[in-house]
Amino acid sequence: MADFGIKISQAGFDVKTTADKNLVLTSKLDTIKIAKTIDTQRTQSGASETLAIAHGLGYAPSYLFFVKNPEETTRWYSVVGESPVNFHRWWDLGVDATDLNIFLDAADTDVWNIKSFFFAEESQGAGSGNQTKGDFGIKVSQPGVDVKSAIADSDFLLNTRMETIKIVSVIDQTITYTAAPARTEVEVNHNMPFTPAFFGMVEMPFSAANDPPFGTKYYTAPFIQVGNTEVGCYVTSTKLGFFVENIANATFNFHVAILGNKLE
Amino acid sequence: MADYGMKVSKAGFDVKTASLDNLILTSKYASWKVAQEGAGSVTITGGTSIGYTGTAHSLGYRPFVIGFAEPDTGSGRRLLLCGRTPAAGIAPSKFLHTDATNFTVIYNKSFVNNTTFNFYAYVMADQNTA
Repeated sequence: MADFGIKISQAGFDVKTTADKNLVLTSKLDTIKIAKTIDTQRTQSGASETLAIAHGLGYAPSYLFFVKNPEETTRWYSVVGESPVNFHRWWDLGVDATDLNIFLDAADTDVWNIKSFFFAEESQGAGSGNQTKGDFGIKVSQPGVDVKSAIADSDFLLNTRMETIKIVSVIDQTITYTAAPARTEVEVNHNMPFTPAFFGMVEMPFSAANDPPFGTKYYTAPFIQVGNTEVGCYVTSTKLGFFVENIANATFNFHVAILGNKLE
Repeated sequence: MADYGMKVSKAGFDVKTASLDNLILTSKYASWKVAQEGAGSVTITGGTSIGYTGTAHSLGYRPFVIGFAEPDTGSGRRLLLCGRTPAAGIAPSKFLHTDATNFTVIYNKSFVNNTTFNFYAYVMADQNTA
């Protein structure tokens, strides 16, 4: 690393020598920045619908979103799922420069809640037309970009006009699943003062011989194939929940980050 | 919180007393840092239904990865890649898995011939384990 910039290490690590993974912040690397947060409450129209959430950023941002379905009103799930009783379904239909589309499939007039975090980092690579102006805060520009004149979100490694994704903790959880094909749930305390966003992975026990190139690998959670496999997480105001519903018994290892970014 | 470090609050909040959700940045917790980013593509060749592309990240541990992929070839949209996308409905189905050396994007669609799908991914420096 060049001998300049900002670095802050995690407690117990020497900031001068520690690896990047032990840093809280480093201006050597881009920090994922939340350019816009949108809370949406949607009363479903018709038997199913495609909800378009306009983000107004002018580029196709990367994103995370979370859904509270009409049946499970204390639980927030990630980008795809199915409720266990009434089989309300939702999934991601993708983003473009105008909006994020989400498929909603419950019943007419059912109420959904969606919280979306749109990032300054694009989903199709660099090149942002979005403008973030303001002459206060901490800003670190990309190499070769004048930090004083840069205004596009993508020009910054760090810009305190935009909230970062804060990793409060990573929770590891193993579910030894013996209830096939029924649903198993495990909950642990997340110890947050609000309902937090989350992001993680689950080790899926695929056979490499039968399903190349799968094998037992860590997939971004949730892993859901409706009718066959539903493995994922949810949060409530106090708990991080893990669920498995699979056609075969197996062991599922989860590693999920609790984020210091509030859902509600 | 220990009485040291750096905090930046959202506009309108006192940085000395603001709760975590009202902080833009706090050195108490790591922020997601991008170790590597880039575009890639997956081609399903004739006679097969699965194509995949592994991309080396060389971190030596399993990082958080967020990837975005075309719902179908030629689409202007991008989907967040999770275990299987979409969970039901229209093919192709897409997968992302990650280990200590690579992340792999997989497309599964039958009855295509030499079709290429594009994706973009961010590999974090942050480790996906407690």
